Amino acid sequence: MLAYTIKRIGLGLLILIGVMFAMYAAVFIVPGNPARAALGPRATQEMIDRLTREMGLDQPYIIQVYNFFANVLTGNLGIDVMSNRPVAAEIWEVLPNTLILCIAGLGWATLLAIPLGCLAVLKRGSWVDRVASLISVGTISLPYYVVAIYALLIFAVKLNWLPAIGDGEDGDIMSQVQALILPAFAIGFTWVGYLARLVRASMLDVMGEPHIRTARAFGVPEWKIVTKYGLRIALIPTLSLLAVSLGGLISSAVFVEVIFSRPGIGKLVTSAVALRNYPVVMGAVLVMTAIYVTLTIAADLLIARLDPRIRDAFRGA
Amino acid sequence: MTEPLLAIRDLTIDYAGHVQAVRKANLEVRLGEAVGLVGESGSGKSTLASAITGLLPSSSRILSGDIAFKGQVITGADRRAQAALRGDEIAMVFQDPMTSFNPVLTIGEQLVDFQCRMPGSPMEKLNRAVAMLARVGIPDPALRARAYPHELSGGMRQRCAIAAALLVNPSLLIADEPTTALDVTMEAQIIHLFRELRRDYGGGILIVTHHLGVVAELCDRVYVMYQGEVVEGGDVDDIFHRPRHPYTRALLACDPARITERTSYLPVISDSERAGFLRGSSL
Repeated sequence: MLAYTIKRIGLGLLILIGVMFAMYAAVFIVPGNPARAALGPRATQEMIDRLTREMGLDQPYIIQVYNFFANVLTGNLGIDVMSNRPVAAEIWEVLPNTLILCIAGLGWATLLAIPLGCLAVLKRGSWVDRVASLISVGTISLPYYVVAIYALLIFAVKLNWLPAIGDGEDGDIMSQVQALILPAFAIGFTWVGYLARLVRASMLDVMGEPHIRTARAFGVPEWKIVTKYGLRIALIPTLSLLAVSLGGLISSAVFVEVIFSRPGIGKLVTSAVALRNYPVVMGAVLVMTAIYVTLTIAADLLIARLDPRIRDAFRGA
Repeated sequence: MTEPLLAIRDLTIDYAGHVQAVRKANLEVRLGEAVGLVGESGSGKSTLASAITGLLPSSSRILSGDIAFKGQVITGADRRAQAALRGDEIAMVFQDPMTSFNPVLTIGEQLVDFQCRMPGSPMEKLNRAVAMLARVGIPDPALRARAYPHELSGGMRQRCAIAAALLVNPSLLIADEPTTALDVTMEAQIIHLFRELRRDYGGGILIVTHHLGVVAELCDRVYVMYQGEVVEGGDVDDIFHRPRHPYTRALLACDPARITERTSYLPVISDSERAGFLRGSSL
């Protein structure tokens, strides 16, 4: 298990190094000089040359990657070209916001989807199953920027129940929670359908297995068969999906962040891309990749804890 | 004569409304006797066994006839009564020990859950389970109770399955192909275990199998099923030595142990013979 963990972490680090190479390659391929973009149209060639040197953009590709790598190891993600502040500090300011948003969004979706999926299996073929699958397909079909805009229109503008923009007052938990509700609703909406369908499908698989019949033959109560004998196996694929989707959400939450004017890493990256603010883009992409990689490793380890068969397979690995 | 423990009368079961898996089957099991139910694949023997516990797949249903347990009809209206018998009066040992235990729970945990109809605290149930594991010949039972199913061999798991069934002290033990998934050495051990257990187990045993050797070793009486019909039933000695139904005769002729002369191919039941069997049975 320990050997497996170390192996997975090593693999994760390799992925991160690969991402660094790819990002610097992208800077070389994409047209436009970051220094010129940063200084604006009235900058002289001298100013541009000086900033290019300062940013290290005149160095060969390998040297640039090496410098970036060495800086990252010391926790330095570079300096924001626009604001002259350290990129690490800027990311650190907005990252918790995004994380809370994504966890809250996926959280409510999961809490709703697991019972919905189980219910559909228990009442398979009945109207309950059909309603559940209608809800699933409905929520999957609606992209979250649409949900976000309509949620904003209905609950913030028309009914005026919840704040429309921002992330709440500093230090005021209640207002922060209120500001979180609509964006989290919009983010989680699509996932209700995905997760419920996945839970339903894997539950159907598991409930058809012979060991479920054994448990029934011994008169184990049906609720216990579902929760203890079925769900524990059925949740394994759901967990992998959750880890990957949380990683993906952190970057794709940007639509919701823009609509609700919430500070977040997605919003940070999009504005940085528009301004060719390369240090910010690279730092943010690296952090998002690191989170993604960490989540997948965490999910794999958690699955190994839940399934003794996988645990034993890793013991040999 | 006393009331039989289990009496199946003219039972007909169909699948999806057009395949009759069991047709007008009659079968009896008495307390203290072991009854074999033999037949080839698809003859309906497993469907019949599932019907006794009320665990038929949802695509099938009982068309006519009934099943009585201790004189009380358990099919039809009162499904709850039938469900209440499972894991209490009736216990089952399933065919494939590889898949009949939950892979993510320990053997001990499952044996405790399986005693859900029995009184006692979880700790008492675990102790009972460990004692029963020892009883069915599992070495180091306390350690094995903490093991996951995949950590045990097939024979060991089948012993656990038998232990699970005996734990609830059922009046009727149904073993659905208990040795089919095992190799011959394991099979001999499990048959030996059943013989040994029979000495102090007072209930009835119904063994579903396609293996005539198992029946000869273990059973007092045997029923032969063919294409959904119980074509013949009686004492094991009678059936084995004086089979009346042509299918039984043909089946026994296929037993390699009965071949006395050197032959280049094993005997099989031909299609023309098959066509004759059912006409013979309707006489």
